[in-house]
Amino acid sequence: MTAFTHPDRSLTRRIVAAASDATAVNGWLVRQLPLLFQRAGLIDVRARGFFPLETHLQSFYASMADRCAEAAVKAGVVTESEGRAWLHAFHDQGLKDLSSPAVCISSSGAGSRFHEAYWRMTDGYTPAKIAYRELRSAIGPWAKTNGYARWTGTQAGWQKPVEAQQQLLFKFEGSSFASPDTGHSYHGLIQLEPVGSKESTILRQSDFARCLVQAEPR
Amino acid sequence: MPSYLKKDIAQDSLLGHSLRALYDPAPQYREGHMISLGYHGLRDVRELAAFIAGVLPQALERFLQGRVAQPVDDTPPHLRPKWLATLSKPSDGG
Repeated sequence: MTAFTHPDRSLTRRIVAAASDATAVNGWLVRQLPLLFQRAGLIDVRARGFFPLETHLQSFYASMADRCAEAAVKAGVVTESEGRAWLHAFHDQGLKDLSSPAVCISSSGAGSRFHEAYWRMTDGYTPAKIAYRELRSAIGPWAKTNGYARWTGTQAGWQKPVEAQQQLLFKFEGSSFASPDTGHSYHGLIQLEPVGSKESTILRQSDFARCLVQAEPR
Repeated sequence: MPSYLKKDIAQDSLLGHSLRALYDPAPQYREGHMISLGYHGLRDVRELAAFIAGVLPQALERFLQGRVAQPVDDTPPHLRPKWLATLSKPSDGG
């Protein structure tokens, strides 16, 4: 669960609670784990909590505000205009009041102990949407010049017809079990399929890395 | 490498093998290796995007010509999960 500083406490409570319920299979699991472990027969169960605290709007947990607002709207807990207004105020606070910027705290366990290593890990982290933007910026012009169009439904994918009524497609996707928005690495995929098959038939497919050539030793 | 992983990295286990590969300061790339294009900050992301953009045309050409490297798995045989052997192989890009 991620907590935010915000001038509208009541609305923030509703949004955070809705996101906690709607964006995780079981938002209470971490709190329940010590008891579940004990019931499963584990001994010497201990719990430690880590609370990353971020103050920049571009930080990973600050970007969770967008997802929380979206989840709350989808859950019907707040209206779309309430969600937009909440986000606007959150961003506005972070931009204007540099002495008291937007603060986001995420809890990942019971208890509380600030963990310096975790801080270093999250501070300066680039969210996947920024990473996708950079990929599109680096690849897009080349792709357009060479006759590729965007691959619908992908963040960073392109396609173009090639010989024999076939389509060459490639994409880069974040690797994350939880969400493609929170990944920290990419893998690339290249595939060939009949024109119009829309991924129902794949003729050949390869990981991008397998198409790289080993550098010659100097 | 984080200090709390020191015990794990020394183990003759799948986890130990993966950690040694992950924290190898001078990894030796071989054709066919699966490469994780990892990043953390914006500088990493930009370097990664520039790298991908630079090698992409040749990689696509190589794929179209069917000159795709065979997958390489450096996992010691005694550490390979048995259930992996029962899976069908993915389609070959070559």
